[in-house]
Amino acid sequence: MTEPISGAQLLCRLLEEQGVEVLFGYPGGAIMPLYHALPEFPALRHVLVRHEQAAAHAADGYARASGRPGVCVATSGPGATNLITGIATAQMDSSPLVAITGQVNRAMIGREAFQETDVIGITLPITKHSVLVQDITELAETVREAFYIATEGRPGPVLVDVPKDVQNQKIEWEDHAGPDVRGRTGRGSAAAPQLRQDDAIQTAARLLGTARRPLLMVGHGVILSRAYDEVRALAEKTGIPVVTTLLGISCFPEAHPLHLGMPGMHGEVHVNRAIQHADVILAIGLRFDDRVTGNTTGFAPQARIIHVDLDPSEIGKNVPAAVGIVGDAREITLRLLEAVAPGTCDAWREEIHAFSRERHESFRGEMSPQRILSGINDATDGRCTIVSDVGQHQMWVAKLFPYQRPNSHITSGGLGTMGFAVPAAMGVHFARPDEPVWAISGDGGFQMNMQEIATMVQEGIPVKMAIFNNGYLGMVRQWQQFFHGRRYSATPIWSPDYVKLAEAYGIAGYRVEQASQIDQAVERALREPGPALVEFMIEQEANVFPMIPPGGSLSEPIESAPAMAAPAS
Amino acid sequence: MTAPVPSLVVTALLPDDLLALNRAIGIIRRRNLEVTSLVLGPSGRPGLDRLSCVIRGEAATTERMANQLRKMVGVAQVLVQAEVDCTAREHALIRVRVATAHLAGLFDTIALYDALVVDESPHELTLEVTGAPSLVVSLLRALEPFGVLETARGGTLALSRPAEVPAESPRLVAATVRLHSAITA
Repeated sequence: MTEPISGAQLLCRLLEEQGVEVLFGYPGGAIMPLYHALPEFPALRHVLVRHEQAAAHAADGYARASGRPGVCVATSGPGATNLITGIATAQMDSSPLVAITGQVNRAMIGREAFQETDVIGITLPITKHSVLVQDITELAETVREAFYIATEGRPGPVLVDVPKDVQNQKIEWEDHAGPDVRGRTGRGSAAAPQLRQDDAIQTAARLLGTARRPLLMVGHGVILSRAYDEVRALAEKTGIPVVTTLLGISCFPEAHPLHLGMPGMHGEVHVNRAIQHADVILAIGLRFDDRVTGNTTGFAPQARIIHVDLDPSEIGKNVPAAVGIVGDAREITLRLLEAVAPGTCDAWREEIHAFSRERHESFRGEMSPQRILSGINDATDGRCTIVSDVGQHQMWVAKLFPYQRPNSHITSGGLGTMGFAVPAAMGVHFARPDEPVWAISGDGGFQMNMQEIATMVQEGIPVKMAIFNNGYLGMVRQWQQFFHGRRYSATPIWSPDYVKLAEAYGIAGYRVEQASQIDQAVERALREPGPALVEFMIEQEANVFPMIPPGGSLSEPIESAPAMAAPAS
Repeated sequence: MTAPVPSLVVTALLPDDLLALNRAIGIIRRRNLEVTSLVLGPSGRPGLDRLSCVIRGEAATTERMANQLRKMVGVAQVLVQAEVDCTAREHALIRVRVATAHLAGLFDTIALYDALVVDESPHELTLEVTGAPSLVVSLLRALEPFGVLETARGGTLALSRPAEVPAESPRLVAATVRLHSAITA
């Protein structure tokens, strides 16, 4: 049966067909036909954000928490350009995002029409793929392809730019399942031949069998492929200790005896020492970011690296791989699990344990991040998702919260996007409506997207917001203290009265100045049916320790503040 | 002394639309590599263009760039080769000044390089030449004393060589020998 429908109606049907349940967006001139059609599709819940950047972050948060593509919608011109930071964030962290933007009428393209920008051109370097829909006849295939590409292989953002007149075009639409789009999206490199993969797995297993100081490093790829059980089984069968990168945190239980912690710039001393002493590193689903490796020439000098990644371009990109295995983390881990011999690494683990340092109490006073985070953990019994922003609190949240459940930690790793936590947490809520979602920010990052409290109120999104307020852009201040002679240039930051701000938005707000108030404030925030805000007044000049200086080697951590840092050169 | 930076020929089969070209060029540009030649044309395979690109850069960086090209949606093939491992040819048009006093020398040069005179006027000639990129460079150098007015070079086109053929085919070797002996004579 056919009936004439508009491009906008077709777009909505396609979104339904793709299983989309929520769109984060903001209307405007060039996307009005889509918004006109939306009310006819009640299954598509639309969340009106206060800034398009938040729409992209929320869609990203939804995608990370659900594993399904997140969808954001914006109009042409400023609507589209406001998405950019969110799209780039998703690209850097391999998050499946479908961004739909309105575009001016086809006849006006290239004429500097009102609210026209070449958003395809602007987003070329930060999307996995992008398409300008030239005609309604291309729309169905384009949208199906966009969803397929966003999730296929290494996930990433796809942008679909739809001119307003294409949204208004009519088509005799015959409802049918689309053709298989997979054939058309083939890549230049064929998947690794099975035989070579088998060989590589055997070689890797042999290498692990001969290792005396092996390490398992796991990253975001393990979360993306949900290889939690497989990684755990592999670690337990071999006794190999496990290091989780920033985006790999929570893929392995923090309290597990084989868990070591996070590596890199703010990794614990014993974790980085373990890397520097390891003779074989099995790396699954991570890309050896410079925040993980420090100076790559001094990274893991004794280790032969077995690198497992879905993206062949990552293998050997940042560090040389003795064995490269291209494939899905779960599938490869499972095959490695079958191939490796059981064992233990007791002597090596004792050696690592001896690397541990008594941490200097880096906090004056009782309002330590550890105490605050254990308050949140205790109040939720660990059943919550923590979405962090970027900066000092991000490192504390990464290192000090006892994650027990897979994928319960979400943060902007690669791009390091301040302002991510609050909007991303809104998206996480739609993926996990039945559990508390905490957006933890510093006072800097919170002020970048705090307008989204209005979205939470209007849409009934019960995100709990925690602000670690130290009156500084703390991480930058820390760098200024260590490397720029304590010249605190542009890092002191004023905040409004957050309790009054909460009141202005009509939500509960609490200020916590003493440790004795932490538990009660957290409990009360959790009991609120809607959003709530808790401001924690923490020590102003606290630092994140240890720290590998930028460009430094993992062997040379800074473990306490320099007495008087040298002036900046 | 540091080794000279190698030139590598990258060929890619891209979807035949401007957006794909734009995306591919962006990937090359983002690696901050020096591109000395870039040619795009139909590949003979429906829907696919062949991009031939000569890059002066470290092999590892070029290979990383090629890996990014391979990830582009719709890209069918990406090869990175040394110039000797492919058939690399260039086509050029050259406008050169004609002075009666040097006519014989000019025509000797034209004949030596198998160039064609494709247009003429009393004071200038337009030449067409096809050959290995080094031959085009060599001809330009040889014409310089006569006065080169304008040049249009087509850039390096490249195809992989059949695996069983040695790097220097007999015909190419013969042509090189002929050229060399003529120059040194």
